[in-house]
Amino acid sequence: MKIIMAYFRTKIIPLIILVVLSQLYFACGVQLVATYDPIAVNDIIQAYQEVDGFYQKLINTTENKREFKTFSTDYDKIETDLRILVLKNSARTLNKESTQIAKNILGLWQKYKQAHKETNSYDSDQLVIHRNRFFENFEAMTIAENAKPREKEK
Amino acid sequence: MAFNFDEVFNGMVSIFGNNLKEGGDEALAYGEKILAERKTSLENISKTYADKFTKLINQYKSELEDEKTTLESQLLAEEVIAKSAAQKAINETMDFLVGAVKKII
Repeated sequence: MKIIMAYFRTKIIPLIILVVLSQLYFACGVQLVATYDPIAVNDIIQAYQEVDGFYQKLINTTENKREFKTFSTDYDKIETDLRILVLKNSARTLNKESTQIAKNILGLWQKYKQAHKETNSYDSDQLVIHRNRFFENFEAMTIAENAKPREKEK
Repeated sequence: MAFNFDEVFNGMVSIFGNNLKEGGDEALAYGEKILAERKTSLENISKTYADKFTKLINQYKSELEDEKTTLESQLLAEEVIAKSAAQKAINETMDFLVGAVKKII
């Protein structure tokens, strides 16, 4: 009897636990981060195209002609698109990192827009720094998206 | 007509003295003007450059803040890479376990 009980305790119970756990895993899987979305990558690249194109336009304008009113429509349109990028990312589950990067980009955009509005000018040295900064933030967002597991890897 | 040297000399001294006095007053007045103008000019220069330096330092601080934001974005991307690797490791390990359990069953 004791031998049977010992066998039950050391072999059967662990086996039952393993079977239950494996069935649970089979049903649910483990997910720590959002699944890769190719549409999200396109959204990021489109937003970056708008931002970089805007900065190119500023760079091509002589410093004394960079009045805010000339660029205000572009500022507003791009800000809306960046808000949409934040919204799309926040709607995905387990996607807080990408959502925060999108919020960082939106925050920088709003800050530089406000500074341009207040000074009614945009310093050429700052233009280059800010343009590079946006590139690095968008790059981080793209790298994060590409690192996410594909659907079949779940 | 006799030449009255004393009268002429006194006249000369008087004219000389008056001119000196006037010249001295003029020099004094101009000296005061110099001081006042230099004081005002130095105050304006100090204020102008102090304002420019303050603006420049504030701009610099603002750029440093934005560098922190960018670093945060990059570290968040790192987090995603790490989580994806962990997820893959866990799931592949569990796949192996499930495979082994299925063989027993």
